[in-house]
Amino acid sequence: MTEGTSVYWETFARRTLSRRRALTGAALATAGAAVAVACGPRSKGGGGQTARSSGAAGSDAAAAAIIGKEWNTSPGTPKYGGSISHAPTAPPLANLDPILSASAMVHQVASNAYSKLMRVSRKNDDLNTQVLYPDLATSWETASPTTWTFHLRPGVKFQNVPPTNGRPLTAEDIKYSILRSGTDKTSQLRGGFVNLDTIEIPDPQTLTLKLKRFDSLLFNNLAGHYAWVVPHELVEGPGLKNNMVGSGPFIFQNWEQDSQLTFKKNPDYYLKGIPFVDELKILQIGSQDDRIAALRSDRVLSQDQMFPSVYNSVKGDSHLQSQKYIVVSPRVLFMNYKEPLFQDDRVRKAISLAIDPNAIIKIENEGEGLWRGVISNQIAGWSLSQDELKSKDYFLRQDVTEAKQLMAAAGHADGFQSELLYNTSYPDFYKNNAQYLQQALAAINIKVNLVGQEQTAFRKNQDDHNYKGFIYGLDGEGFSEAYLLDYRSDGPKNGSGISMKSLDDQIDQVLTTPDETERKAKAKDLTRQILKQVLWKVEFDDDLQYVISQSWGKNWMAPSPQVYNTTGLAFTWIDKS
Amino acid sequence: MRAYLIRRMLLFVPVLVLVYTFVFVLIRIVPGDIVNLMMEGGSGRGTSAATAAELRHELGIDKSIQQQYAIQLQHLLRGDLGRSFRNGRPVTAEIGRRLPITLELAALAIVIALGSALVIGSLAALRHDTGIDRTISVLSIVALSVPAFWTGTLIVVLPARFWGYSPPFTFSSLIEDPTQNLQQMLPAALTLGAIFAGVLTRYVRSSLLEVLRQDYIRTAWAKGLRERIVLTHHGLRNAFIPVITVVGLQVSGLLGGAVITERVFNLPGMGTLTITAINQRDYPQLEANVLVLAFIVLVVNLFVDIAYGWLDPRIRVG
Amino acid sequence: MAITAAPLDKSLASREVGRPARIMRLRRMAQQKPLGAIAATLLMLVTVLALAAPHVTPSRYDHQDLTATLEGPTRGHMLGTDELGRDSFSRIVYGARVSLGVGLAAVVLGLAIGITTGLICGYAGGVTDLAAQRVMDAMLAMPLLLTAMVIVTVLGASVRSVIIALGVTVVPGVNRVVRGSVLGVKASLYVDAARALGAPSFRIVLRHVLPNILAPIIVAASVTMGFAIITEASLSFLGMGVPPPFPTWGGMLGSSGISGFAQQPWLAIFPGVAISAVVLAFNLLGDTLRDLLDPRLRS
Repeated sequence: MTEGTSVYWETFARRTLSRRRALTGAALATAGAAVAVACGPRSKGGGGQTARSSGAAGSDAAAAAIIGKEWNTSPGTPKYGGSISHAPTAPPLANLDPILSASAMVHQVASNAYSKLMRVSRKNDDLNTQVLYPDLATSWETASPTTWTFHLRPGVKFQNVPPTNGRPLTAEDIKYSILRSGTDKTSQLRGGFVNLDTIEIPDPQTLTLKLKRFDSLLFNNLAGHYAWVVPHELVEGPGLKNNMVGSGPFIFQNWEQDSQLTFKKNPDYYLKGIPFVDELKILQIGSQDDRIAALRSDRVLSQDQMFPSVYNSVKGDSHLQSQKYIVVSPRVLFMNYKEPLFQDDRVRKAISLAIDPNAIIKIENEGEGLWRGVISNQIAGWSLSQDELKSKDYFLRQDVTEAKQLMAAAGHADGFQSELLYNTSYPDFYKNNAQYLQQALAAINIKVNLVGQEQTAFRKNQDDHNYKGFIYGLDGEGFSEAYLLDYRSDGPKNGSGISMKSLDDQIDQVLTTPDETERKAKAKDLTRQILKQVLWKVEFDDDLQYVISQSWGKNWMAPSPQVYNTTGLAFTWIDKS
Repeated sequence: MRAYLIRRMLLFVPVLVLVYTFVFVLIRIVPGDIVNLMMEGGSGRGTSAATAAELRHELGIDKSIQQQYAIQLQHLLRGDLGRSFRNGRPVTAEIGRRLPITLELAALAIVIALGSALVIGSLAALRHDTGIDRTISVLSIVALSVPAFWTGTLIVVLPARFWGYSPPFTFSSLIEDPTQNLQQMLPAALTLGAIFAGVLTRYVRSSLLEVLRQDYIRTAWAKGLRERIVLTHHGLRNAFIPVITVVGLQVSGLLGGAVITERVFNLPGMGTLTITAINQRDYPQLEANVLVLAFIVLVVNLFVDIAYGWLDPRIRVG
Repeated sequence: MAITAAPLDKSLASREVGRPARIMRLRRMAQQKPLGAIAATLLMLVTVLALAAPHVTPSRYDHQDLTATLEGPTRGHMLGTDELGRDSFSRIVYGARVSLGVGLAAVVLGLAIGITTGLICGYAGGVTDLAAQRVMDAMLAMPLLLTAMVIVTVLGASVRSVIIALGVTVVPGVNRVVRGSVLGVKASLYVDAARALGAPSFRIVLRHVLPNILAPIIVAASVTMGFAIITEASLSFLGMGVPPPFPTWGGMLGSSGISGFAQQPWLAIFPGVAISAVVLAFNLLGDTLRDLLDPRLRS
């Protein structure tokens, strides 16, 4: 090529680039302010976050404009390039197929290679509030509580790797994926779609979901990890256990089992300029001590759910930045529904009164936490106030005298023998609290034997309700209303085996109320009822913990608690100046 | 010799069958299986018993233990070790990735241990009954008394706490990125090697002592040969013999110690693979792992026996 | 000592024999083997502390005091407190009970089984011996920690399962020693028996075997105690050891979230020191016993 022609090609490329950018800007303008500011379906519109201009010319301003509308933005000029290593906290990965596991890790990984209808993030300046952002759907509306319409983003392509080779992503693909999650025989996520009736595609840019009943959880789960859009070629071909090919911001490169997963930036991602970094590595580090060491030695971007003592030890380190937030503590005390002793509500109340939530908070999070009654405080507006939870009407508070009186009234002044089953695979979380519970119950003459079991056996016994007396087990961690689900007879984390038709009906009533304000009120009322009767479970607390991340990681924040994903990695940039 | 080899290798078979059966039965007795684990976590309405049954059927674990054993044994005879329950890949694939890592760790640990033991042990023997000798004797026992998980964790955590440094937690092979590889491997190999060095030093010292007392050594001394010549030409070679056997016998201990070390340093080797297989009830992976590890131990022991015979003319095997 | 020509004091002479003589002999052994003596003393001290734990410790091992969690070493708590406000020093002392008790029980179990099988295999020979030796080979072929892990997982974590798991791993080594001795004795006895035209009875074999194996067994027992303690600690570290609330040294070191090493170093140092010191003492003791009991090395 002569010099003259090379100059020609260069100028041509530059012109095409800027023209493409202009197009993108136009598309965004039409998408407009169709960003909902709160969880739950709304009618069209709602205020969006205004794009914060970085003030810089050219690509950086465009990038900032993008993320302002598509994701949180924090001050600063986005910079391009670099590699991020992230080590999520979750049990090890079995395989890469999102529908085969309800566990966190696979979805955290999947969120980089796949897309879904909407994204969820915490609010930048208020970590305990959530915001919904568009992803494959740029806007949505609910004509009726059981008809949800999503307007799809045009021009989205699958990644330019086999088997999709960059082909366009259509409404059919989205429908296919939702049905895969919702109906495949082996899907662990099936339960989330029980209220889905049909999916219609009135035109290529629109997807309509018809439901049997309104289901707030389903809407939230569509923004969560319940419907990753996967290409049918991959499902029919090599399968998803060892491959990830989607339409997400990062292209999957390699999975070294129990070591790391590597991704490269997707140059054809529909948001131009995203992701900022060239390479992403998701590390699998099993031990908490190792992860903290990795954080301190600048080997990973961030760690969430960090204890106050870790925060205190890194407070002065200018290389690290911290944000405080509420993390649900999903460990609860279940009482076996089949145990005759627990049929007497006085016994249950006495048990609850014997335990001090402040003790649990002290033990597991050095005293920084909030009381929790059924629904977590994680997302504002759903839980009862701290004052109300501590009131005399409920039994979360500790009152050993009253507890003993109740036991005596129930005819158990001398107490009884029982067992407390707990999980030995995560000693950080279970061991100490179990020992505290043992002592607390001993104070009212309930002598429990501690029985430890490792993860898999423990999980089996919790699911089968195969334990004597008590189990210190795992609650659901989900959207606010989801905590009520664990009280349903078919609830996924119904560790006590409770089965009351009236309760099931009441829970359904809450979950099928379309109006969010009304739903919140009903949820609170139901919470009050549950707490007043101590329905076979005692929830304790939420912890005030920290997200600690490297100072060079800009625009990063902890993933939303309601969803398992690390979507934010695509919108994080590295600035080491 | 050939007959001896064949006879020994034939004896591998019943041993491996016993090991396989032991693990096969025990892990299926433990409550819970991988399907229970797959249902872990998540929000909203969970999965149903039907899904669980479907998954179990796919994996073939809904049959009785005897039935499963018969089926798996047939596969085994065809050389098919099966596929992992986790990701459906052949178990040998994962072993192929992880075994070199454990072997590298073990090899580095042996090199570190042997190197230091030969030097320090010889020093102790040559300076028998002096302060140096006594110090070395005590230190070597200290080295093998300190638990690996303790020293290992301290090595990871303390430098991070005080100097902001930790070894890398992701693995790169020696060929790809030797710096990263060694940064991760060396602390781990040191932890493991230190213990092993303690064991070996004692053997080097005591066997060298025994050799040094022999008549022909005394003759060499009397003739006025320099210490170094006496040591290398006469002493070390014969002292080396018991040390070889100790290395061989320690292989299974080394592989076991690797389990803890790999966990602490986040090395994706056979140790962590086996622990994960136990915890996640990945039956085929666990069985294959145990077979491979047992086979290695048996082979090494056989090799040691042969080497022993080769090194010491007084003992001839076969 | 100088040879004096002073007249012998008869009263002195009578006092030198008997109890003082034994003490003199012990003292001489201690002088010859100072390390062994130190080790033995340390172990006796630890044993006494462990047995007398309730009287020696400022508080019970499970006494929770949530107003004083995670404190460093202070006057009231020599070695600090843990997440539940329990006194670390007390827990370490009680922990000695587990380490020593479990170790001892495991070694005794292993010895019992190992000696029995060794005797039977050596004496019976034939198919029994062949089969049993393959089983022993199988046990040795698997890394011992893994075997222990599998056994504990199957039986569920408890004191009993840890003892069984550890005891089982001890068996092959003991079996080998005993069997070897039986075979040796049998060979020599057969010569005599051939003359008397009868196979040596089991009782005769036993009588000849026992004194031969006594020395190696004692040495092995001491060293195996060290191994058992470390393996128990490793199991506890992995979360598979003796379950709470009883304290174990390994469990105190295991990853415990807040009390991860990074945050509260004192909780991480002292149990580790305890394990190392006790194991060291057992190994030193084993060495000393071997020197004393094994005539071959007494040069």
